[in-house]
Amino acid sequence: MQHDIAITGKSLTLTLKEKLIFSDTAKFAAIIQKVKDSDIGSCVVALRGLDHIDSSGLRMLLLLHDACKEKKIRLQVKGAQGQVKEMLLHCRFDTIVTLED
Amino acid sequence: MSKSGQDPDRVIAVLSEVDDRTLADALRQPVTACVEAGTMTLLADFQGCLVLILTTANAFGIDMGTLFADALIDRQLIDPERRDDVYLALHEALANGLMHGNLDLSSDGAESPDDFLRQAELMQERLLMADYGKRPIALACAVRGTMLEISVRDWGPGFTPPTDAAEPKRLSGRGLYLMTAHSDALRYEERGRRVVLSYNMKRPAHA
Repeated sequence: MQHDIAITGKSLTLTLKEKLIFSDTAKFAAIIQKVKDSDIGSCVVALRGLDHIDSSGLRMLLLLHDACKEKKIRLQVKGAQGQVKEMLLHCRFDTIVTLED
Repeated sequence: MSKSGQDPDRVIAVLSEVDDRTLADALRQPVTACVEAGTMTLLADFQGCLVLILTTANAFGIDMGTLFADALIDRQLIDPERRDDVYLALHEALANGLMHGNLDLSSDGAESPDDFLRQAELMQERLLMADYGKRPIALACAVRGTMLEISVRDWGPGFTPPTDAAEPKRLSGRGLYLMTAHSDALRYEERGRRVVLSYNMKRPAHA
């Protein structure tokens, strides 16, 4: 997984690229910790550059959603396409977070 | 590269360093078995046209599923159009074998963000511990009639396999669902330590 985090004011943008898979657990844990420690009001997850996600990656996104919910942070997920979008739709991620283009 | 004393037709590549490029090179024909240094003694337990054995710590940083699927295509054992099916199922089997098998991390142990953070820390610790990080993971494929069988064997504690692919829970069970969806048949052996994914070699892609 390649990722980038940008914080502007009260908004955090997380850009994910390449793959989000089980071996990214430690990296993604650091991201969730950063979200938990931050004082933000919104979190945008940009997935346009993400080509592949596995079941562990889906779980990580669901747990990021839970972390945001605990802190009342608004979560937006943008740009999912191909296999990533299929997987998100398959696990009904779109019923808890609107998937934006 | 060497010939095996036990199987004179077996051509073995022994890896002293493991990275994606080295492994991709090592899996090229005519190699029929590729093992990380120190795991050679396990090879006798694995038959088939291609075997790959790595330790957990090294397997974690390698795209084993992609490289193994590509090696099977190179040997014309799978139709290139079924590559994604094989890769997706194999990847999930490897993830289960490494995470829940060899690293013994519970699939139900991270139901909250805090649980996940603790589990990630435990995972990092165990990858550095010889008791966990040196545990092998083995991939093997064999042709049985018209079926190609790809097995993933871990050295974890094992588990009681489910009797059917139940609807996944919110945070777990999706790996098994994906393995079932992307293979023609699936079975567990050795008390859950070995999962065997089967593909009908005569079935066209998307049938």
